[in-house]
Amino acid sequence: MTHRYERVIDVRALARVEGEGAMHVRVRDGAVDDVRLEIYEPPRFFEAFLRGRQHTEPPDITARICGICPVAYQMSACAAIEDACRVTVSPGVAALRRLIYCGEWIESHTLHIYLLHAPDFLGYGSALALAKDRRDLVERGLALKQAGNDLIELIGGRAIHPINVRVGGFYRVPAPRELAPLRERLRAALDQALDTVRWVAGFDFPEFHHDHEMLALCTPGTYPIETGFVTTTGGLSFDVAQFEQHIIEEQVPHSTALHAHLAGRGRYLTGPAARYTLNRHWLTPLAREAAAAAGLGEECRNPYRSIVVRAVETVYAVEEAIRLIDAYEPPPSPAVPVPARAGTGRGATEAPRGTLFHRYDLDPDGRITAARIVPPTSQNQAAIEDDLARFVAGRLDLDDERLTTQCEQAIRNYDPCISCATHFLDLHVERS
Amino acid sequence: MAARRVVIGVGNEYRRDDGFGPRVLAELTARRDGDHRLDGVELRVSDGEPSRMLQAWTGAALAVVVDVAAGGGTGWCEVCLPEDAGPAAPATSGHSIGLGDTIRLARALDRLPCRLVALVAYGHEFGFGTGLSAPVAATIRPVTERICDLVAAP
Repeated sequence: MTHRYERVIDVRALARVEGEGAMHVRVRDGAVDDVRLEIYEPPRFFEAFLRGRQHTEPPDITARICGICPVAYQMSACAAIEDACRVTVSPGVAALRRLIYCGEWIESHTLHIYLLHAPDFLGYGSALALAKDRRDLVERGLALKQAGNDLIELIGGRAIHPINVRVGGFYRVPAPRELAPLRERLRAALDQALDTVRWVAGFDFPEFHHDHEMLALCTPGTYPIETGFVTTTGGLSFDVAQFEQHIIEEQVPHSTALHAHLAGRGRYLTGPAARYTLNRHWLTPLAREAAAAAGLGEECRNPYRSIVVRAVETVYAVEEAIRLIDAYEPPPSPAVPVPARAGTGRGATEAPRGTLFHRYDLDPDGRITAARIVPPTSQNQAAIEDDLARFVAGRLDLDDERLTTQCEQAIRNYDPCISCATHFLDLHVERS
Repeated sequence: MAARRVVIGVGNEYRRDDGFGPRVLAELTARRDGDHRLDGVELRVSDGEPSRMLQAWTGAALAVVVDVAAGGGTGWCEVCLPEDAGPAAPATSGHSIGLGDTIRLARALDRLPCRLVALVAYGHEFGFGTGLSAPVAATIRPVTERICDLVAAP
């Protein structure tokens, strides 16, 4: 038990998260005084340099925001531009978009489960240390991840920052015979995904629960990936067109990410646990069965169990990819024309880490006059900080080293993508 | 069946000298039709993400990695790996897993190629934008020649 007046936990570089961030915790008089998840990775100005670009360019430009989830950026950008131009893609193109997005879910979730998160539960400092002892596990993870990579590469033209995606559809669509070998790989991946659920379900999960409102897209009849109504566990449901009326972003001094909250309601959480809680009944029977066997109930409010939800969603994504391949018929045209027009368009899709919103204002020539991108990690930042404060409050008897380690593990529960969350910070100068 | 040979250009063409690897791969691709030494050689560009690197070189008799390094020096050097994999990187961001850690992971998983060679240019400019600095651009030709020799050697 410590008798110090003040304790400061200061982690200057968080380990095994995507991007670069820090954590500061201050405890004063035995109570948590301040918790800050600091995103210090430099702002990257994407919204600023989208201005003046043509309406056809955001899928290629925004894909560069993230090497882990470029498809999510491309899909939200396409949805927003097509909304502004009043264009609807053909069902075949929509199905192909969902298929490439499945590849990204498989890849991203598996990367996080095996290389970033599982070592925490098994007492290893890194995936490399885990591989030395349990080569079979890491090999399974890499094989599963590879199935996602291959799916993105086949449809997107390459595994990172795909080049085959365009507003209105694709530059080229695959022939069914090109997808056939991938289907066989996905059959093997399904077994690996189910094994992954069983594996992570056996981890030791600390008792910790939150009561944040949770937010995800909802699409009646299917588990949400590339479309849906914005829905919360508190009963809100609104069209993506109203996103900015309900989601308010604000600057905070300690972060290059904006903090988001629900207007009049406060912090909230988006991501796999929110998707599962709001949409579990739309999972496939096999994924639902795997979730139940893994001990997931009707909702998931223990952030440590997010690894189980990711594993279940990986099962779903593999199954969904197989279903889409089986049903695939090349669309009559790889893309529909998207003629320029003046307007504002909004699009939201479910990135692996949660709801990703884009808005573009276009002039009559299709030039972008304003852009806004709201990634999941910045939406989650306030909820993560709140969880950390309560987490620390319940563990003040730990020494600094153990408390620091456990706080880092707690942050990894949310799979924050700090690079995505970095955001331009406006500078206001008051002059008299 | 000829032994599998792969050349992997690591880097980001939009971060100046970091685009060295992809630029060399573009040069090799342009040469392929006129240089029989490149017959059957796989040419890949990579962001360096470990699992993709492992996939690229698993089962290869020879893997040549083309990369750029910061920290002084001029010209380029040839490093035989994995004996000289370099120090472990601090375990921070998933974005910062380096070649050394990737090699260590490959060794743990028994997924190293039979022979792994890195050709590394010394970079100077890593800001935003395309285009290599003059000293790095000057190494494209000798590095490309060296790759052709390496993949042609019995």
